[in-house]
Amino acid sequence: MKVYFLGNYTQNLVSDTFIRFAKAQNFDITVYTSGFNQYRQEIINPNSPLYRHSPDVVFLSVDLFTLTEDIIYSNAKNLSGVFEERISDFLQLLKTLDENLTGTQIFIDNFFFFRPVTMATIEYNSPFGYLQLENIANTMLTEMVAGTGNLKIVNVKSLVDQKGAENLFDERMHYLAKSHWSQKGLQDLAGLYLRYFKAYKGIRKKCVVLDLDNTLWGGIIGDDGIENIKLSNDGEGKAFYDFQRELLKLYNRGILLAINSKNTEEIVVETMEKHPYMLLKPDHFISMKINWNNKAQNMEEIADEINLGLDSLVFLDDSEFEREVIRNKFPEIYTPALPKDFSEYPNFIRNLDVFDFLSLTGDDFARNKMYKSNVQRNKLRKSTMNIEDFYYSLDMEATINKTTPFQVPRIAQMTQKTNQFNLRTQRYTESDIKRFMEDENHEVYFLSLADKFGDNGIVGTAIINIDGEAAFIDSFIFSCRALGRTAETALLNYIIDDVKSKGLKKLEGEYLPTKKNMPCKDFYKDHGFEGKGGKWGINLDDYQHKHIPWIKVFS
Amino acid sequence: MHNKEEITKRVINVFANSFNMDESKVKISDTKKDIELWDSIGHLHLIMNIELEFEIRLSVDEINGINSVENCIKIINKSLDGN
Repeated sequence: MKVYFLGNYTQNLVSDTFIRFAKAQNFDITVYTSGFNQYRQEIINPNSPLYRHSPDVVFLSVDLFTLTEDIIYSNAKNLSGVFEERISDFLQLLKTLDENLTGTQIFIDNFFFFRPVTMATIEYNSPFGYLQLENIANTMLTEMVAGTGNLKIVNVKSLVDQKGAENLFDERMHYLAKSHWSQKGLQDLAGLYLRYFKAYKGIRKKCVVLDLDNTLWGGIIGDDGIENIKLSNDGEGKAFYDFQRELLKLYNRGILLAINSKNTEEIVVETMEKHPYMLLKPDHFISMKINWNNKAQNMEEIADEINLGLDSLVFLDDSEFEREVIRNKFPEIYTPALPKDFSEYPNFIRNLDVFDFLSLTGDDFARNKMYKSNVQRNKLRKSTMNIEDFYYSLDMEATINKTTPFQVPRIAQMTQKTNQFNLRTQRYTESDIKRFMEDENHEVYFLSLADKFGDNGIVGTAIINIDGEAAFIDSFIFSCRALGRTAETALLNYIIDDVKSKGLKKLEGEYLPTKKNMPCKDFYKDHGFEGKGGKWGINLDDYQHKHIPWIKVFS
Repeated sequence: MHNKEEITKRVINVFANSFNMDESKVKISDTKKDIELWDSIGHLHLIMNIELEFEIRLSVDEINGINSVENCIKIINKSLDGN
């Protein structure tokens, strides 16, 4: 993966720090850093190193003070007009960059003035104070970015607001090195960039496993009783209410919640149902292990039930003893210490940097429902007699079609994130997908699946590339939450019918093994393709569909 | 008073870390010309690492004055004694 740093001050210090952090987390990256203040030439010149390296990710950092210094110290009468023109010029350049680098994720810092101005009494009392200018610039930037496909804003301004200019900036560096960041500032900035980088790669935790007593409420429910626990909408009990509200917000963004607690289940369920300030109800939890078993054993059962890797779990418990039990048994699970003082609990969740998204799709919002129905489905599977009965009992309905712009974000996301059922593991951005859709030699398909437990949304996608009389399956991807229900066969059948109707003679495919995609190793073989060495093919004229009468297909 | 020997040892360690060298390769007599990675960016990494290690803050003049391992040790000692 190639990462390119570009900006109007010395980028090397930031990029060096970024490399160190990324290597420490085992990311395989090559980093290029543009020469000092070269960003204009690099963006305008089509033969610049920037374009020659065709990076996967670009970080563009333009300091507002340096960009507008001459204007803000001038006596121009129409200061805000001149200022807006300067910002507008810069945004034009940004647009050029976005258009020239279609397959690249571009990150741009939002604007802030790094020098102290807020103490000045004139701020907010004159029409064109620094802070107003900062707001104007950020509003213009946000509006411009909203209309593009590859640009995302890095919220550096909030980092500065939170950690403070005195900690993050160093005047000596500004004069000696043409970089305003202090050592602490460089570390925080590189850390923030890494969060965006990981969000782009789709690396995040998927489920928070929670303790109850002194975690979701204050006190011991079994001893203190439902009326006496700390949980309310004012006073100190509000800290726990706010903590739950932050967890509910994660839930609403598709993060799963589960419980692992030593308690009596009936008392807990009664509390959840009856306590007026208990925001989290039994329905919010994908799995509840409330018993007197060892927490490591409970944890194993939770991971098994929801079918997620241990490294996608977070465990929150106020007891250091229980945290150590989990850390020892499952070092892959992220088990941070909760703050000693519960008033810090809500901020603790707000500051957790393991749930980062770049954008939320409808599927992210619906994920909780989908996982919950999966757990129910698996229970049903255990109780039905044979597999075909099971398929029929699900009442599956698949919608399969060629992609329209509405599905593009989800399809790009699937190419980026899906590892297990991904035959060639080709990663694409939204603009790549759009390009395929517009190209007459490519087709992009999607499949969405609903059953009696709920709508799973888009769970399958495929991209084919037509060359003469043959079509090649460039990508065939299925979300693991929809596997084991034969829907992948429905998608393949649809593709076969579609390429046949175009008069093509052959359909070819390939399996490129990775560490994670064993589950789809035999996909082509199981569907009657012939081949070896990972390359597979069929003659469309003789091919017999694999029948899956239990799925109703719509297009 | 600080232990001069110990400070010299720590300075050599900072040089080694900043410029990706083995500690045994760092000589007191080394100047900017002798150390491959000691360019302008390398200089800033060195200064930041020194400030972190010794919990001092060097002035622009002191930063610009550092051009060998030997005078780096001298400047650090002066800064520590001044506190």
